[in-house]
Amino acid sequence: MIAFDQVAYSYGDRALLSDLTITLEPGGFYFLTGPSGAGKTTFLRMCYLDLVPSAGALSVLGLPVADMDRDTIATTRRRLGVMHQDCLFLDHLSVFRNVELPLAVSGQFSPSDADDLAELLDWVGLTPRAAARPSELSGGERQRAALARAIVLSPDMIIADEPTGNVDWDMSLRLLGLLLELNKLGKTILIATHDLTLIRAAKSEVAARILRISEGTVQMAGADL
Amino acid sequence: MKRLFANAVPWGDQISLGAIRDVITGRRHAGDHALPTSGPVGVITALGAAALSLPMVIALVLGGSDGPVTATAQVPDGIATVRLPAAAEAAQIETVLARIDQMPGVAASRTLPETDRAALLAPWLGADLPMQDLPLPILIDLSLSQGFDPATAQEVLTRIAPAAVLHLHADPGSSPRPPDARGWYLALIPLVLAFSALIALAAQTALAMHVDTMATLRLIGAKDSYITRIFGYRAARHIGWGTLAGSILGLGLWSFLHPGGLPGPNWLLLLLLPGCTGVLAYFITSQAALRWLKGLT
Repeated sequence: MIAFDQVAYSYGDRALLSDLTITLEPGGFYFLTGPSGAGKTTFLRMCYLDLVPSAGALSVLGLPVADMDRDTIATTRRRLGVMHQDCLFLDHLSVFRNVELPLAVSGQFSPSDADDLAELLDWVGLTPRAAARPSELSGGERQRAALARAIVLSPDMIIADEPTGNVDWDMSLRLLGLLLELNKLGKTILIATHDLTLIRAAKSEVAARILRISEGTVQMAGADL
Repeated sequence: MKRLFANAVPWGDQISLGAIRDVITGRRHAGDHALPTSGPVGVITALGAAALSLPMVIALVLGGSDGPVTATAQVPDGIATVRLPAAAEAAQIETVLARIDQMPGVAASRTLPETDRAALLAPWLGADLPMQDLPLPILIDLSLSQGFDPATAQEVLTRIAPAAVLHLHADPGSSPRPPDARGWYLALIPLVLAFSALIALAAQTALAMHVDTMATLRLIGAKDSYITRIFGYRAARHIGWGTLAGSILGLGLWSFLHPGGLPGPNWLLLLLLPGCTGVLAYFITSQAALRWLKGLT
């Protein structure tokens, strides 16, 4: 699914990550943990092709990143559903329109998709908020809307950056439940979080693997925490 | 949620006829809603286009009003004078007269007698001038008809009498010779440049305002072509509608000032003006958007 081979990433002269050699398998459920500033978001941004490694070889969905042109990056991103930390909504659009947007940009939207979109919003519990603007949503609603937008194109993998960072425990469990459902459908899940309670809750449902970032590198911690 | 269980095949990043129709009719193109409403920038852009298209319309109407002008066709029926130096010999004057009479478009010619020349000078120098003692030039009056070619005539005269000069006089009953109307087309050059500058400025402003939108669209899988297209369509619509409004205003103004109506059929070409400026806006804006996108992943 995603393979890092001796990958390093530097911001200017400062090396943040180095010697990353790790593979995320299709259908896996992964948590990415580590202290703030350790490079979790940088790791995720490389996964969804927002950053290019400073060194090493990275392949995403079987494609070497170094060989990708801009159009290939765009089409590859359509197969990666991403829940960004700050959600990145277009604030002038309703929730419905924001969720529909990946369909529009990929040229796949047709009027018959309206029913599917309504069903998707219902699945994440946002039907009553479909006409609301993102700025009118609570933290949990924003995350669920971001999840709906991330999966509207039926991606192979879902990447979530601190999806439970600004929501209460009940909402965290609800989001986790949605991601577990998607994993059961065969989607690979990668969640960056420092919420160990959430990881423990997931472990009771799925054989989650833990990627721990520390001292500039990532190690697979296995199922045990 | 059938999309959750099967990857759909993408089909549309190319420009469709429906999208072009939507631009022309002003309907929002699918994806255009990704951009917030234009607000004051869009209004100012459209007004600027209208203001610039007004002189453009006038220049086009004037440029097409008379078509190509040739010297021969524009010489009115009337009179001309050939001036020879006072020292010209009688034989040379006879030769000039004989040659003039053979020129096409010359109905009659005569050497101006001394009494007539004295009458010409009397208002300024008095009636009792000693004409014999003054070195006054010899003047030959020509009556012209259609077909007289002044340039050829001057050339012939110069060969016979190098100091001979041909003066054309407008017939008081005829209209003055109009300037070459094609010159008005030259006015289009600075106007098109100003149009391009307006579009480039509007594009940079819009792109700077919406750089976050561009970044978001890229991150959710939009190709550069999609993003450049929605910015291009937006600009084309503002400029196109602005130009249309300015063109209508310009034609209305022309018709008001010239009740005789629009000269010639060339003004129909003005109907193409909004489309031309729209295409220009689309091209400039989409190229500017592409340069901005190169700074994004």
